Amino acid sequence: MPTVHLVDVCKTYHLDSVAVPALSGISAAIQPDCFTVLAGPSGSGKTTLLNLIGGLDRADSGRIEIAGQVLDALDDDALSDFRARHIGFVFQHFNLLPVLSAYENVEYPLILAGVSRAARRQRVRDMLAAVGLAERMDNRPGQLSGGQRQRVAIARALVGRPALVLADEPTANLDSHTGAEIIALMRRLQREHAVSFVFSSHDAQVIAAADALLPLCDGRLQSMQEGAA
Amino acid sequence: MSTLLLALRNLLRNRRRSLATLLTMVVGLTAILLFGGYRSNIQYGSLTGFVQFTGHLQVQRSGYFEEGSDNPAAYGIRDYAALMARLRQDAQLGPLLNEVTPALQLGGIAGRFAANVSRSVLVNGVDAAARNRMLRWNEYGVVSYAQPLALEDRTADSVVVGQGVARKLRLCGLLPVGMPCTQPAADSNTSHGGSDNTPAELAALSQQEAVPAGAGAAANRIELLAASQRGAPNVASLRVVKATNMGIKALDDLYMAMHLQQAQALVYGRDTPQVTAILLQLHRTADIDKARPRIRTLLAQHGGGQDLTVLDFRQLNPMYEQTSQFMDSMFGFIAMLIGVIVLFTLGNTMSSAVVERTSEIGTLRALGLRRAGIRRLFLCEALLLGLAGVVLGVLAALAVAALINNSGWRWTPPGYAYAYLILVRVGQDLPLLLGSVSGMLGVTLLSAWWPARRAARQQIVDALRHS
Repeated sequence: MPTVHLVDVCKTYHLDSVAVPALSGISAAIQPDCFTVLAGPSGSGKTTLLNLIGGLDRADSGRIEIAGQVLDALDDDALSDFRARHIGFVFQHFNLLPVLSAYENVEYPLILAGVSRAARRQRVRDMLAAVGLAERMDNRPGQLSGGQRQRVAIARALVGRPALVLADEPTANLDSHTGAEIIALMRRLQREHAVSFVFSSHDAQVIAAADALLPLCDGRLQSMQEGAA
Repeated sequence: MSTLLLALRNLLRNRRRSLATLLTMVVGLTAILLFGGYRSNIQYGSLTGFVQFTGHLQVQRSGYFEEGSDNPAAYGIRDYAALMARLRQDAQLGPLLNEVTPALQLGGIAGRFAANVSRSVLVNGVDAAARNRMLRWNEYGVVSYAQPLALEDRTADSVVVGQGVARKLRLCGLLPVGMPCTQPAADSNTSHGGSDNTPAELAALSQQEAVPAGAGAAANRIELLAASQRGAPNVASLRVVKATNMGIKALDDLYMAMHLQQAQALVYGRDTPQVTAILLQLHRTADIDKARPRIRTLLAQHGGGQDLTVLDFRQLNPMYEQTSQFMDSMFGFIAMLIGVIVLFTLGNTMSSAVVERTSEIGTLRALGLRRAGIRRLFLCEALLLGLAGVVLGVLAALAVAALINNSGWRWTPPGYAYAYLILVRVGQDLPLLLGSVSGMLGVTLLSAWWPARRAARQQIVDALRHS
């Protein structure tokens, strides 16, 4: 069963009285344990599709199924709970909470998921060690470099053992060297944790690392391609 | 990472703004508590003063309070001693009572003919020992200005007058040093009733037994003209033993206290003596509503068919209610103004926090925090500010109140004849403390409600775009 199943998904934004179609008739299936990239130029609908898959926004029509759950069937609270338990996010701007330490940022999704304190402590330490930040766990985001912040964000996305991790242009705010390190790290963790990663990116390094590519243009899916990472 | 800890850290992010908001709350609450404490002192102080003088409840003949004060003979209570005994001995009422005592109030004209002066007085015939016990009542521990009635163990012709009366009668020797007083020209020649200066017709009317010549206090002798039961004028020669400050100027210029038997002799002569009121002072003011119906029942059973009514100290002293209402309205107005200031200051702080943290709100929602969680987070931040504000505000109010209470500052309220200490009851007034604290916390939550709701209702994708 695919981790993500999209059937004829449409989304239109309304700017005052002007309707701007963002996605039209998107149908796709994203397989488990895959490193999938939504590729396309700016305005092609990558982030919109990623938001719909992550349950951050609602489609106007069509069907989105994540890990066997139809998202449209969930109300707002249930959708929040579903995100907390099944989806991890990595943002372009890292989006760490500035008042929390690296440890606390990684711990936060586990608190939302209701994991016990003892289990949280072990999993957070393991995860920070996995991203190479065991020594920086008490540092706040302001005390970390861009690459380190993104590592914390990756740890935060994976610590809840989600079925799916969504990353919106995760290397856009990093230099190419750091970006490459981050991609390598995510690729390694994706394999180790057997989790599906879906990226939105037009970064050639990310696209080159993909197992599958979903090319978007003007809100439409061009064709699904298998990559060779 | 509990919501509370996250809220606390968010507050500490913008310390200057949080501190400014906190200061607004602290100053606001301190002002509310200080004015409330001042109001409380005035209310409890005046309540104590009125209850010390009039008791919590009075039994009177119906209509006496409204119309009968000029005509005590028509509104006398018969068999009052037996009635008082019934009230004291009642199993339900008795334990509530601190004192039960009779009183006879009448109007008269006090004259000091040696000085060619006279003035109207309001005479209170009292049981001096019982009145002094009443004056010691102080349920709320306020600073009491009551002075013991100097009639206890004094001769039957002794009277105490207000300082205003003494000044009008030119009894300068009884007044405090420095108080303005016009000395009578022939004061030293004054003697008791039967003085050469006393009009012969008044002397003849006097039923007061002659006081031995050379009593030593002749300089302080006065004559009192009052109407007897049958409307005939009656005169008593009296000795003023003390001039006391009654606090309220209007009363100070009229007040005269004498032994009950003396007053009864003036009004009722040789007839069966009566009184115009039975004063009941309770141990606790809160027992008024419990005591009143029981008194009514006892009056119906043992009142001898007299049309008796029960009035409480608020009805007897309308000034208490008027003062209380004035102070309450002032307090309410000030509290409302401060509440509005705090509401807008804190509301502005929380709204700014929501705008600044829009991206974080989106992140938290993306991670799985429900809308209610966002709402709770911002309300928690406001509540923490509120708690810090009330703790510091209460401490500041207690400190300033201690300073004021030890300053010895005094002022004379309008219409009063006494300079009262400016005191603030903050620590002793639990309802004021609890009311102000809960009110401030309520305003805090109210001011944060709208920003918190706005934060919680944001669309996640819109919020994330603020990154």
